[in-house]
Amino acid sequence: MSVNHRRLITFAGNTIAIEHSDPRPAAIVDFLYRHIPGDSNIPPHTTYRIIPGDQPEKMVLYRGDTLIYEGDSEATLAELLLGDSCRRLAEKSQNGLLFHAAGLAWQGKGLFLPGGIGAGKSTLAAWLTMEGLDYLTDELVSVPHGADIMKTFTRPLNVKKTSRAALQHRFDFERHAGHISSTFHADLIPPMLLKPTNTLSEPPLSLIIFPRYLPGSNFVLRTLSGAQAGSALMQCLVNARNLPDYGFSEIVRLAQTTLACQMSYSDLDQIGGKIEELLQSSPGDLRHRRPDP
Amino acid sequence: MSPSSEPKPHRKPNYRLEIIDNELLLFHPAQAQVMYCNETASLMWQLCDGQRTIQDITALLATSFPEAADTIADDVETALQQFLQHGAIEFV
Repeated sequence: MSVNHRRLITFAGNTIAIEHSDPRPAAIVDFLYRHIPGDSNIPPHTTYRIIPGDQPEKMVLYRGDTLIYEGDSEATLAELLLGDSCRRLAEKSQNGLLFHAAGLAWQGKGLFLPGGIGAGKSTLAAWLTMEGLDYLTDELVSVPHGADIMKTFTRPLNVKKTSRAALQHRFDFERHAGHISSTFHADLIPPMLLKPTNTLSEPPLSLIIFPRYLPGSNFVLRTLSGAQAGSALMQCLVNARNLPDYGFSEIVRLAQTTLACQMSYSDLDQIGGKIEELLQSSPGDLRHRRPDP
Repeated sequence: MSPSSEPKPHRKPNYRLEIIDNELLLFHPAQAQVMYCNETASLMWQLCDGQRTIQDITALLATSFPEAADTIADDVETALQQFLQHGAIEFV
């Protein structure tokens, strides 16, 4: 089967290609990657192909020669392609620190929310976007060597179905169903649905918050020491093995120069405007704030 | 220093150290593993030289921090467990 469209996706210094041949996969690819540019100067290390299946409604997704998906669910294909491509881009990244993290911007300042799977990054990012911050990513943030800016992989927010309850008083999932890609366990939500004026940028890294969703807990926002922040950042670094010194020196630099906090919450409404207040006062005056006991 | 035959904790080599505001980040490149040490644990790490026993270390820290003398033994125990879990020390 021939393919006649090829889209390059470049992030954190490496490129993947996605090839397809008809409008259905074209719409999926545009839905997933419309905010990610492609750089033809960086050859792709991985090529995905989306081709028609043996029945009209079916599509088949390959990574190289490896079959990733065959079936009639566009949403499942989208979710698998997005997850797999993020992993491939992360594995090959070597031009800076790459973190599992959400990223948002507010009044020109970057909010960095590192966390592993299940930390609640996407749900928190969705909520903060509806609160007025600009969504940048819910998955990957790159901090180039020696720089203090956030480069983000801006994709639709990947919100687990179990998080709907926390968001549905602010976001009408049913009304937007036609613009969301939904599988059995997750919704992919374009950021513009949460905030029509959402603006993309590469802001300076102004505030680091490690979010922790703890059912039944009180809201706690605790300042971390530089060493605590460095240790927590190392846990969220995706591409350590590709970096000189495993990225340790750069992590220490970030931990020493950026205010970092740990935030525990059980209800998004507990957060109120506290993050905006912190962003308002950072960066300079709070960068050397002592940790909370 | 005690000449006893009690086991003495000894730092393993190949750790990268970063001291930030008296606290310590220990990083083992081969294992890509990082460990956070608070101020007490940071001091302990310096004292795990293979010459001092646990008792020696506890006594030294109690002298340095008389206000915390009651809890030093527990802190030492906790920090040693942490070092052992990370494979950062051995007993000689």
